[in-house]
Formats: sequence, structure tokens, C-alpha cells
Amino acid sequence: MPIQEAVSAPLVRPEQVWAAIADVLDPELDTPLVRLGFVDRIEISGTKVDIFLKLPTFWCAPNFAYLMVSDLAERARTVPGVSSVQVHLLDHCEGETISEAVNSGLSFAEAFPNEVTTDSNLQELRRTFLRKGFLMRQDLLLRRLLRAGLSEDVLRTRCLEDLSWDEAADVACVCLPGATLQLPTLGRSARAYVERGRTLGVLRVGGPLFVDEQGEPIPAGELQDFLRRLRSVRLSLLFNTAMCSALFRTRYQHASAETAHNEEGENPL
Amino acid sequence: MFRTSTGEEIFIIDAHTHLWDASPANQRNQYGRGWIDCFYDYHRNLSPAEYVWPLSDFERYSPERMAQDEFVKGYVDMAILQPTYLTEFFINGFNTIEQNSVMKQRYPERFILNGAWDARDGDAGLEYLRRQKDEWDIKGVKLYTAEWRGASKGYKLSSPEAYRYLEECARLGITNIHVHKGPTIYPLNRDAFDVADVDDAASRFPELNFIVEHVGLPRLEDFCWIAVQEKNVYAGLAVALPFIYPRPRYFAEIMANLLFWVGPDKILFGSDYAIWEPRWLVERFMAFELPQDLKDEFKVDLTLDVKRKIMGLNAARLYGIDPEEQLKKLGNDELAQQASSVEGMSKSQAGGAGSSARAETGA
Repeated sequence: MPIQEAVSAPLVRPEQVWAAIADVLDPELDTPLVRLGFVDRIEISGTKVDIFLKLPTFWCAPNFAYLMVSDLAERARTVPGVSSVQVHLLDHCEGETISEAVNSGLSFAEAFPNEVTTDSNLQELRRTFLRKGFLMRQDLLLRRLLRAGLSEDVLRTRCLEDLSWDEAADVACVCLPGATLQLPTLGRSARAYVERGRTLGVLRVGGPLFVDEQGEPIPAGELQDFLRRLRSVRLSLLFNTAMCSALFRTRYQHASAETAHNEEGENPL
Repeated sequence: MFRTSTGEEIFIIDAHTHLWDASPANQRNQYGRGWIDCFYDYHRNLSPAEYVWPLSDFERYSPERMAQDEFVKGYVDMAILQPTYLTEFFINGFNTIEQNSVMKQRYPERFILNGAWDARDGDAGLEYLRRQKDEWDIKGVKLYTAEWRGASKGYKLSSPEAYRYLEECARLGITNIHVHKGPTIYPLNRDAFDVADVDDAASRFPELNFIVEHVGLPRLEDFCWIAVQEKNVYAGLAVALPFIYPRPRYFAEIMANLLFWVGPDKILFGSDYAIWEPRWLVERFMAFELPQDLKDEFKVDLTLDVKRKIMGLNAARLYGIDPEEQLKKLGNDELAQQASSVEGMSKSQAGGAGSSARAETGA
């Protein structure tokens, strides 16, 4: 290869790869892997990228692990100049199988022919957790709005366009008849709520802001029942997010009960 | 027996305990190592610092230590041993009924010994179930529908194979079916997480009680839905309860949900010993109160009467135990005497219930 070409070839910088994978979710935790600290490191050699992933337990379900590894690989390949991406799942009961499958382009079903889960189940699974993430954030928004003194009728008649947010300040804004209500600490939640709702196809332009998982508006007089269901969804998801991120800190940083958990501030209610 | 600061006596059944052997000598492969390391992370992730064991103690502990931790230090009157076979990971199994039976032989009035079956074992498994009934007169079983068997990654409780076993349980009077529906154990494919199969089995076998261990976390909403539909579905608190220490608000929300959907007559205390010790769980639970906003929203409360049911009366009813009669039988055993002297000691040291003052636990 002519030396000149090698020198002028665009080198891949780590921050480009970090930026490209910044939004890859742990689907079960509904939180970006990078923010969780699960992406251990990125190594770049010329145009080849190696990404190292660590999870909270040796047993984290392989179907979810496969989704994370393949999403990371897919996003990293979009970085200009990258010629190949290898993702390495470390310290996991099926780490080698999953890494090899993704790195050689095998689907989950091809890698695990004996698993009950099929490739289409896997996409269904991803949607199930998107739905949970949508409902959990709806729970947060609704409770805060109720606490601000809004009536059930006012909530039921808000449309999608009434919600906006300032992500940098982490503030959500809701337009009310003749006023705008600001909700501190809910900016990111508002964005994630709308993104998930639109991906699921339940939040539509000009449609109601608060709908159930099928996109149906909340029937009049049933808000309390609706909220109870939402809370149990949120508790389940919180079990995943809180327990798994705390276990990760215990597994890799030897955090104790006293240091691994921080209930303050994680629940904006 | 736990005594409240006002002198009320609370009869306690720890409905979820194990005597396991995960020592390196018993580990069959890397999965055995991975199994106990994962348990240990749960242990140190949720236990108060003074209750964290060294890993080597946690891998294997003696029957004497278990009896001390449960009945002398832990306020527990009786404990239910729930077996976990995992013979693919551990040479002699992790805690089979044979391993657990050591406790029953040594302390017959203190323990209820449960059995196990796996729907994939066919006729031989049914024969083994009958043998467990003959030999130990079991009244309950613990099932892991997600257990790995060669190429198979689990089975459903609603399958025809499982129904054969449930029919046999009904015939033999093995009425308490504890099903593990909780956090990750490999392979946890879609079905293993799912609690829907309990729904089908519970409707089909109204004469059996189904205790969903770990309250179906992380699928609490599905579990609550099922428990409302089915009168014979119960909630086992193991794994949910230790959140009371580092995440009391989260625990309160879970309890409010369970009290609302499942009700106070269908929730069972369990420590999951040795993952967590009963002493701190009992003390904290007995001192716990629901925050006012949850009481208002759910119209439920964790009163002393409700705690009494959860801590022992519900399990006593399922297992046909008369708490008063049982306490008479236990009153004079050596463990009860040691327990009352420990109670006297911690009273004089720290002024009564709720104190975490305790003697160091010897290995």
C-alpha cells in the first residue's frame, strides 16, 4: 500500500465512536449503556474498532445481551472511516458465543438454536421494554402534573404539542390554557417519553398527550386506576434499573449496600 | 419469636431458606463459580455492612450456623427449606432435599422440608416425587421452571408434562407449590421470566396453592394481575424484602402494591437465607411503616396485625401449623433458651427491639 494513502486515510478518533454509541440502550433497563458505565473501553487500531462491554451479572439474559452487543456494533460501523468493529462481551456465561455471533453476522436464533427465543421474539422483546419505558415516564409526568394541582380533565385534553422540554436544563414545559407549567428535573424524561411514544406509534401529531399502550386516550373518571397500573410497571422497570446498576457497582467496584444505592434523586416524584 | 416494644409476641416462619454447598470442591464448572459469585453480589449489595460474610463462609456454612442465624439471632420460630438442585453446575447439587434434610433430622420441630420436581423428568421424576413424600412427608415443593437441562432452557408450568406432576401433588397432598419467578438466572428466556403459566396452572388446580417467589420481580404488574384473578396465588417476599434497607421508598411502593392487589392474607415472609440473614430483615420489617402518601393512594396499611400475618400466620395456615401448639413444642428446646438469653443481652445493651446490636457471627 502506498505510504501516502495510509497517511491521508482519516483516522478514527475514540470520541467519534463514543458519540456514535451514546444512545444505545440496555433494552431491559431502558437506559443508555454508556451512561450506565457498562461500556468498559474502546480500543482503536487504525480503522479497526474494538468495544468492550461488561454487564451486572455473569447470568444477564443472553437475548438482551445479544441485542446490546449487536446494537453497539451497528452504531459503531456508522462512524466514517471505520473498516471493522468487534464487540467483546466480558465476564458473561455466554460472552464468547454472543461476541462471535455478532462479529460474524449471525442472528440470535442462529447463535442459539436451542433457545425458545427467536429473532422476531427478540424484536418483540425490544418493543415490550420500549412500552414499559413509555409507561414509566408517563407515570412520572402524570403524577407531577396532578401534584401541581391540574385536574383530570385538563390532563385528558392535553395534546402531544403541549409538551416541550429543555434537555440541558432538564426542564419539561406543559402548555395549559393561558399558562405554561414548568416541571424541573423532567426534561430528559419528557424527551424519552415522546421518543418512545412515537417509535411505538401511540403518540401522534395533534393526538392526545396521555394515552395507554395501545394509543387509546384515558377514559374519563379512570385516571386513578390507570395510575395504579402505571406504578406497578414503573416498579418493575425500576427493579431492573436500580438493581442492575447497583449490582454492577458491587461486581466491579465492590460497592456495598451503603454505597451502591442512591434512592435520593433517582425518583423525581 | 419477635417481641415488639409493647410486648406483643410475633410468631415467625421464614418461608424461604437453604442449606447450600457451593464450595470450590463441589463446583462442577465455571457456571457453579458464576452462580455463587452472583449470589454473593446480591448478598453484599443489599446487606447492612455488619451482616456481610466473607465469601468462603458464604460458599458453604454449617448446619449449626444456620440454626443460630435463624432461631437464636434471627427471631425465627420455624423455617422452610426450599431445595435448588442445579446438578449441572454442582457435583452433589446446590441444595437438594437430601442436603437440606440434615437440618430436618437435627431440628425436626424447627424445619419444614420441601421437595422438588422438574417436569422434564418424566416417569422417573414422578417416582422420585413419591419417594420424597414417603421418606419426608413433604407438603410443598420448590420449582425452577427456568432451570437449564442440557439443550433445554426450561419448561412451562402450564405444559401437559407439568400438569402430570401437579396432579400427582394434588393426589399426594403436596399442596404448596413454590415457583421461582424472579431476577435473572440463566437462561431466562422469554418464558422463564413470564408468570402467565402460573395463571393457567392455578385455575386448573384450585386445590393447590401457588406461591410466586420473589413476587415475580421484575414483572410485578403481571404478577399482581394474576394474583387478583386467582384466589390460590400467593406472594413470596424473598429478594423483595432486603430492599427495605438501601431502598426503603422502593420497598414501600412494592408493599403498597402487594397489599392492594394481593392482600395481607397472601403475602409470605422469606429471607432467602443465606443470601440474607433474617435478623436484620425481621427487625427492619417490624419497625417499618408505609409513608402517608402511599397509605392514602392505595388505602392500605401495614398494621401490626398485617405484619403478624405476613411474618408467620399465612405460612402457618398453608402448612397446617397451629402457632400456639408449635410454640409450646419449641419453648423448651436449646435454641429457644439461647434465643431468650440473646434477647436479654441485646435489650440490656441497646434498649430493646429494633436494635441491630448483636454478637459476632462465628463461622
